[in-house]
Amino acid sequence: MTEPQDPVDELLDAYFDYLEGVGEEPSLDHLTSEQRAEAEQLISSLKAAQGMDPEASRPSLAALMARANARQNAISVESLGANIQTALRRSADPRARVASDVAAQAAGLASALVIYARGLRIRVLVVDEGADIDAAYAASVPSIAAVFGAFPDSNAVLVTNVDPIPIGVIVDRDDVVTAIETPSGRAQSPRISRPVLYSPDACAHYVTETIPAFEPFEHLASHHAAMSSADVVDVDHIAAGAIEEIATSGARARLAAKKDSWASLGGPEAALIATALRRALAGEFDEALFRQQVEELVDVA
Amino acid sequence: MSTPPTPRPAARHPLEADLARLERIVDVMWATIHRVLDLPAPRRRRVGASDILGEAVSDQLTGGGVSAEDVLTEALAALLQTPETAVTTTWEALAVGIARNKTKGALRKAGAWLHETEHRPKLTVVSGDAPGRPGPEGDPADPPLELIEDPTDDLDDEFTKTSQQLELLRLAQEILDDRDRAIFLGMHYGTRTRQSLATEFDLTPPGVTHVYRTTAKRLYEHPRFQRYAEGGAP
Repeated sequence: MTEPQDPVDELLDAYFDYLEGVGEEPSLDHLTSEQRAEAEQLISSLKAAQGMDPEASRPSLAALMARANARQNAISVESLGANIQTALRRSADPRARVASDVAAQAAGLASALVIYARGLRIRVLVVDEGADIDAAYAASVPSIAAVFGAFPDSNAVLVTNVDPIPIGVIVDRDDVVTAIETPSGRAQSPRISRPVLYSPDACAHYVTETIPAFEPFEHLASHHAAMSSADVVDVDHIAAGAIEEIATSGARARLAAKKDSWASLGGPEAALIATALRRALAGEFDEALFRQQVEELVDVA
Repeated sequence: MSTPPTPRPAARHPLEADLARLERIVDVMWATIHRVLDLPAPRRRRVGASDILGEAVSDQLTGGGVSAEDVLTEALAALLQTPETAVTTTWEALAVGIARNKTKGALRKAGAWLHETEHRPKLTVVSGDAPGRPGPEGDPADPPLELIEDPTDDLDDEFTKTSQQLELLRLAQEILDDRDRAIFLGMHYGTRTRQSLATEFDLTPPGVTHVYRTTAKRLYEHPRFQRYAEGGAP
């Protein structure tokens, strides 16, 4: 004969049926208060365990922290790039842009970003959060030199941290080599030659200092747009200058014929050349006609 | 050109100074992530009329190209980026809220990638934001994602309950024999059916339930669990 099941076991069986989707949620009404308390504790615990995976082992805290820091660093670098781009567009070059330095990363080099502004290329080397920039620079000299070596088109390297307020310094190509200083003649190890600044400002200062902005000349261009080349060039002055130069040379000539003929050149010849130049600038030069006019002048002479 | 702000050194997060506490918090975040992942298609559901239960919860994220570990990493990064001044309750409660929200976000993103590709058929998972099955009165149930409590609930309480479950799991793995451990873990976490356990250990399904109940009682009454239940860390 089968023993009657304990009411709590029975309820638990029904509750498992319910969890597995093959029964209704059982009622606890028929249980005594003691049985009910036990059943409630079991059900509450089952509900709290819902979805937990006893086999799922989580990564170690150290691995998670490293991944979280790397992730945060990537976000910080992205944010730093956006800040630098905004600062440069505002103060130095409206077309400045900052991009991920894919080439350097593919080559295993330390540059994370590359800045393009006014034809300059600045690569960005990110150091640890909160790092002292002078100390970080000293430790990073080989990495910076490797970036300059791999990318000869790099004008400078920005060494920066990614703190909430990032600070950094622009490093020139000459700042990563030992130099012999004058007048002492002593060898000087690599050192920073520029000030440590808020990183976007460090870039803006460097770009402005290296490639000064040209004065706007759009008005000149628009003013001359409607003029022909002949209007811009002083044809009479050029022709007169050329004839005068030949006449002066003729005055120094030793051959009498040359001296007489060259020195006699003057106004009529200059006028002929000026006319020929105007026609040439207007695209209407006729060589045959020019020759004919020159011959007429020779005949007159 | 903007005025250079005064640089300041980066502060160390207060939780990094108490790694034991951070370990406990990350344990609960991990469990919370699995709990939320399980909701759209609970593992403890029978597949048809068979004794086979559902798949592991991490499959829910397949379409989003992320794993439960990625969600945990993102949640931990968010927790460690939160300044102490922004914590209105406790770090524990905040951690539970962040883990929930990050998991819900990952589930939503994964939904966009469920379509069929040339390499696989359309994924068949239960939508987390579609209305649920109609109840007895014909009203559609809330979408599964909506059933996840808002972070305004008592997250500290949830942290404590989840911590107790984790301690229960550790105890079960340490003190139970093979049969009792298999039955307790299989039933408690819904990874096995009673029928399959009954077959394996030569019991009846009600017998499996009885073993589960007595084992659970033994674990709840263990001094280590009692200490945990009273709010003390082991």
